[in-house]
Amino acid sequence: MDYNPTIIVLDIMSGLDTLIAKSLDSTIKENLGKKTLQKVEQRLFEKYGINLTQSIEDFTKLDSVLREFFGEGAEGLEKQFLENIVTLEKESKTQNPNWVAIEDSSLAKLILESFGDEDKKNILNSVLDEPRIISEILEISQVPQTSGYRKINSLIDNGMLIVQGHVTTNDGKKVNKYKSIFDNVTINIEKNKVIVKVLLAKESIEKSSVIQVVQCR
Amino acid sequence: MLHWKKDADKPEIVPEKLQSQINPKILVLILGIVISFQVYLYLAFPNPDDASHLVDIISVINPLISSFAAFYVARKYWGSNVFGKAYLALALGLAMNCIGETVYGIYETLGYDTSFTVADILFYTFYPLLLIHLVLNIRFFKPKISYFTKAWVVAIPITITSIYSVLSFGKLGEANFEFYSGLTYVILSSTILSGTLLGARIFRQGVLGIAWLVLLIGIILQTTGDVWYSYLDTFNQYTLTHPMNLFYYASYMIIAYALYKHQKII
Repeated sequence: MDYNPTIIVLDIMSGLDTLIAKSLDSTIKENLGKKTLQKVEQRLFEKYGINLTQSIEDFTKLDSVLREFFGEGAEGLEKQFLENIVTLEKESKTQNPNWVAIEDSSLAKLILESFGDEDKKNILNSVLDEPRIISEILEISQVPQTSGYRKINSLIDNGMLIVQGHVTTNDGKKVNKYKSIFDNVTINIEKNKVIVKVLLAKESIEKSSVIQVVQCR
Repeated sequence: MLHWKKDADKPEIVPEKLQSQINPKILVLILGIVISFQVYLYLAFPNPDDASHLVDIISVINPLISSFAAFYVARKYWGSNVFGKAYLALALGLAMNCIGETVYGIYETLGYDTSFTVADILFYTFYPLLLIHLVLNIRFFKPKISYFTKAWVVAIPITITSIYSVLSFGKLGEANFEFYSGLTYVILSSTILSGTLLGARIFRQGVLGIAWLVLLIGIILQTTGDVWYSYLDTFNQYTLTHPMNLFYYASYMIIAYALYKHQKII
């Protein structure tokens, strides 16, 4: 069987959507109540057989359910979800439009903790420019294998690392390549408030169904 | 022995689109109740002042039921920033009308002057509280409103107030206390009408739009009642058995129905 040792498919899981999913249900609960969240979840399940977290990865389904309940009001609701978590910087000549300010404190904490951990920081730095397989990441970041796998998995679970293509090894196995969802991160402290801004990788924005749906309006 | 329902074996079909409809029987029932009550008042009380106790009781019970319905809905979303607070504000507003009617009834029974009392202040309080209900919903679900929408939202109360002012002032010939008191009701009432219309427009394509449409019908009746009452009161033509009261009676019942629809839908 022929194989191509280069990237065959550009398979990007949207890490940004995973991050957004973490705060979505709390946003609905806080603003519209637990019962409303249950109704939305119930409808998502009976119509599409998915839960709320899964619906983030296919945001058009969540959008259609929210529109069934709230009509045009769904647009405002979705913007609130997003703005409670991140703020997309306005496009300007001097600023890259992919800069995102993290509004959600738990998400900001997650990012700060990731960069506060020396090993995780090295792992993320190793995949800032190009996607790599795990063994390469461990080699470049010089993190011991045992804790390295655990920390990489933790970064994947939190959506900080996204799959971007894969390589096929000599024995025919496909091995995922990972990339950081950020191209850059800035941390500012203004009047006791920690402001975390991240420059999202272009692919992260393009593949985020949430941002695509919200930005289309 | 087990008794299976006739259609127990039929698979449950998930609707392609969520649907909710206004039950015309309920609207007809409300209409029937208020018209029957009005006819009864006409027949039983040739002198309208004799109907004061009965009218007072009905005027208290009506907003009380709506207020309970709103508190029930607020309790369902208790603690939430939008629905919880919005329905609490609506419940408090309706409660203010209920307390206002009670105070008005007490003043009337004791034979005090009812031209402008604490009851009126309580009645006025209903409008800002209802406005809070509308603003919380609209600001959350439609944070950006187009200039065209803003224009008609402002134009509706201005138009209603202007027409009222011209007709009322033209007939009265002076801007006295009664004129300004009535005008205040008209301004407040037409403002909430405009806000409710905007809310109903935002939700109209969703199933929640039905609850808002019913609320809009209730508010239209309330505004009609307010404008008509203000006009009659300015010229001392208001009586307890005047058909204008039908609008108030029906509006509270329809608002209660809107609240029922809301809690049923979501």
